[in-house]
Parts: sequence; C-alpha cells; structure tokens
Amino acid sequence: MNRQNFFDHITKLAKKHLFDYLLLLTLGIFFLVLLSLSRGERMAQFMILALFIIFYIFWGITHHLLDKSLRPKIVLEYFLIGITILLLLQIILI
Amino acid sequence: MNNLLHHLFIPSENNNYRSKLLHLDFLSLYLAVIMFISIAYRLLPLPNILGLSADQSTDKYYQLTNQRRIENGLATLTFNAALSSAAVNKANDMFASGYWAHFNPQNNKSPWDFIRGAGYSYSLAGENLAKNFSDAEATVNAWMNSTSHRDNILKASYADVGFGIVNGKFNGDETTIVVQMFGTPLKGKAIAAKPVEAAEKTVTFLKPTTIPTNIPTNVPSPIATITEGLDVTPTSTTPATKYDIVAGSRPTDKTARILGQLTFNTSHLFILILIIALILDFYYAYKLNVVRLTGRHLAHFIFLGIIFISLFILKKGAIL
Repeated sequence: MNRQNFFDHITKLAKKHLFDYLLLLTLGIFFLVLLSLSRGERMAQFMILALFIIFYIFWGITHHLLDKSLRPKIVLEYFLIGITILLLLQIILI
Repeated sequence: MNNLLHHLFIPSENNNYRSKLLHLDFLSLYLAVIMFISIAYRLLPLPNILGLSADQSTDKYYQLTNQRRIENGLATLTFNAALSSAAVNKANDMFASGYWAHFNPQNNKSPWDFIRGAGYSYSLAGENLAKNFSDAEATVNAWMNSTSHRDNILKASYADVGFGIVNGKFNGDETTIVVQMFGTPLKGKAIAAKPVEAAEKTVTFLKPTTIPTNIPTNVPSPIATITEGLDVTPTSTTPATKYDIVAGSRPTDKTARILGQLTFNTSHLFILILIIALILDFYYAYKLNVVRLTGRHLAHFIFLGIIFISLFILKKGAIL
C-alpha cells in the first residue's frame, strides 16, 4: 500500500458521498463568511457557530441514515463532538 | 512516552484499533472537562475570554501609530492628554448610549464635540474606531489595511494623537472599544479654553463626512441598555496622562487576560490535536484494513477544520 493508494482511497470515499461532503463544505464556508461579516459582534458570531454545529449534527445523522449505517454510537459521537465544540465556543465568546 | 502517544493516536490492538483520543469515553471526558471550565467561568468573576483583550495599552497604540508613520517617512505625533480625554469620553458615550458609529444617533453628538469638550481647539481633526480586537498590533494592522483609517494615521498635517481604550458591557457583550483621535491645534497650539467660533469654519471633516449615512443601521438598543451597559472603566473624564487613561490597567484584569489567552490558545490546540488524531486514525485504519462503524472521518475533519479557522476569525474585531 503506497501513498497513491491512500489518496485514491480518500477520493473514492469522497466520490461515494460527493453531494453530502460538498454540502457540508459549502455550508461550512458560508458560515465562515457570515462569521467574518459579523466581526466584533460576539453574540452574533456565537449564534452563527451554534447554527453550524446544529447543522453538522443533523448532517451526520441524515448522512448515516441514508447510508443505512446509523447506530446509537454514531449519533452519540456526533453529539459529543458537536456539544463539546459548542461549549468551548460559549466559554470563548459569551 | 512513545507508547503513550502511540496508544493515544495510532490505532492498534491495545486501543481496539481506534485512536484512544477518538474513543467515546475520551469524547465524553472532553465534554465533562469543558463543562467544568464553563461552570467555573460562570461562577468565578472572570470576564469572557475575548471580551477583555490582551496587550491593549495606550502606550502600545502610541508606539505602533508612530512606528507606522516613521515607516512611511512622516514625523511622529505628539501624545496629547486632551485628545486622550476626548477619546475616553467618546468611548464611554458609545457604551452608555449603545451605538457603534462616529456620531451618537440619539443626539448627533460628533467626535468634534468631544474634542472641543476636552479643551482641544483644532484646525484639523480625525477619528478611528475599533472594537473587540485581540491586541493592539491587530487593531493597527486593520486600520492600516483600510484606506480611510490609513489616511488618518498617515496624514502629514496631524500633530497630536490621543487614545481611549475602554472595557465594558456593550449591548450585553463584554467589549473593548478603542478610540484614536488625531488633531492639529489651531494656530499651532492646543488651546485649553472654549473653542473659537472661527475654528469650526476651518475644520476638515475627514471620515465623518461619510458616516451619517450609516447611523440608522446602528441605532442603539433600548434605554435599558444604557444603565445596564454602563459597567465601564475608567469613569474619570478629566484629562490625564496616557498611563492614567488606559482602561485595562486594573491589576485584576491582567490575570484574567492571561487566563483568557491561555484558554483561547488551549482551545486551538485541543481542536488541532483532534484533527491530527483523526488524520492518523484514518490513515492507519486504511493501512491495517480495519472495518468499523463510526462517524465519518472526512465529515469530522471538515467540521473541525472549519471551527479551527473560525477561531482565527473570532480574534479579529471591527473597525469604523
């Protein structure tokens, strides 16, 4: 297994769920633009990031649901990562 | 040490073929620790991390402003206590009335009113505003990247400068407002008396000529905010030396700022470590041909990457 195979593997995975990943990435960039537009407004920035986190959790659940790979452990994983980051941002911003 | 790092980052038999840092028990541990810190921040009288910005002092702003002028072949500005007093009063007024603009939308009070009120009679004056920047360097850089603000800093005909750095609650948010005021005294000197009527006719309105159009969008919040948001230091309006005026010079603020900076940098590091763990886990899972039911690495990677970038954006404030 060389590096080329590894990158082929990533490409294959990304292509398999191209729409899903593009949606997540596009929305992510959109939220970054919104964040940049509201510079200096801490509460607005927190709300924007909170919306992105909620979107990410729903994205994860929907994605695995459509992929027929949804398990409680997976839902918990998305929740734990999302809520941890949300709390972290809450400490930083408000 | 090597074994520990291997156990934490690299999937192997010891960690059930998944980076220990990405196990559900570890993810729960992160949440518990962050919840604890969050509660501590709520219970202890600590300011929010980005609210009271680090490295914000009049001295630093004065030094950076003159540095930029020297770099551009201009004479340095003289620190003026009256202009600094005007700047502090302007910042206090913004907190009290809850507006983010050059003119107070409630009474149309202009920067020039503050300058004259502090006893500085000018032939030329200008104002730069900034809020919620993490440090003085970032603020001055943002001003230098904006044409109108840069013009103020690099205007050859200015002779004096003053600064007001005030921390307080702005519409409910912990905020640092920086006001930079420039001036050229009338007939070559600052007159600490009532402004001469003729002076108003010769004033060059630099930025504020375009500002009033923005006022409706910055209309302040209800009057209740005025009293709630008045937790402002310093409250003194008397002209003082540049060291007296600095709002962030309270000794307790220094510890809070260091703690805040530490928490912010640790947050950055924490997200970076998770990203590294994800990459290594993904790579070794592929290498070892591990099949498992977990969340998507690429999705977590995109998500954490965006949060990581957003932390850089959060450090940047707004200028006006």
